[in-house]
Amino acid sequence: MNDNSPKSPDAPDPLEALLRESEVHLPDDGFTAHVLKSLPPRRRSDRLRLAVFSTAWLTGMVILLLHAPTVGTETTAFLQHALHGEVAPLLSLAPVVIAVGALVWALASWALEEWA
Amino acid sequence: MGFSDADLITRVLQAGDPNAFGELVRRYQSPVRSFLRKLTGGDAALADDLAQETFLRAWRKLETFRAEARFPTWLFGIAVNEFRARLRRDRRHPWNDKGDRAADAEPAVEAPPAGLRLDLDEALRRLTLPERAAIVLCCQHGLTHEAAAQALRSPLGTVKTNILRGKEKLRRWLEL
Repeated sequence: MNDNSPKSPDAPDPLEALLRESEVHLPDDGFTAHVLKSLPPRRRSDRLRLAVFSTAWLTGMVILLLHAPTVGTETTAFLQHALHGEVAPLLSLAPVVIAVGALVWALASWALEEWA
Repeated sequence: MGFSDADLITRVLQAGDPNAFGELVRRYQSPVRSFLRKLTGGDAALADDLAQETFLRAWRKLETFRAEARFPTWLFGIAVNEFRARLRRDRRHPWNDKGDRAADAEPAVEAPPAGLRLDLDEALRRLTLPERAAIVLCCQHGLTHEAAAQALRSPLGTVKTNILRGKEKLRRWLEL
């Protein structure tokens, strides 16, 4: 406990006594039940979130770096084939789409967790 | 035998057990709601609303609780943040504890007319917010000055000054 009183210990401070005595216990009156009803699901642990975030981020970066020299050509080819309604060539761009998706997901989930 | 706060917190963190968290809420609802009632100047509905927000935030952020602080101190800290956020949102006068002069220059309510004796609640309402919060935490809820400084996120010297100044006003107004 603290020793906020300016007076000697054997002379009780009437103000401190008044402050202590005025503090009454508030009955629960359904407060706890109301809080429990409003609880959102627990988030995953910080360590797990960090692992998922780091893995997604690293995966995205590695795939992007591996495809970096060809992303431009692949994107042009993708647009040309997409205009003609051809599906098969779209697969070549799939890793890039996955990588960008992983990065966006990782950043978005981090931001949402921070602001929650 | 009852569980300690640390046991209950571990159960929440490891198993997401809402009943363990419910026990923590039951234990600390009274001091948290009472503290917020003092901060809000006796507005019980607003205080309970803020207390609910406090416990919801505690549930979401329980991983960030560090055992070097006591759990109630941590809860009071969240309650203060919720109260400050509400003041900002409602664009009411902000909590000002940047130095003694600033705190003194921002009375919560003007001092009572000379010769008028007040009751304790009314006298507490007339203190500045930093004075009131520090006095309620230390003198009513038994926090040490250090714990109060931690909960209020204020320098220790500022908290001590606010307590001294607040008590001096209370003694004068209550004629003690």
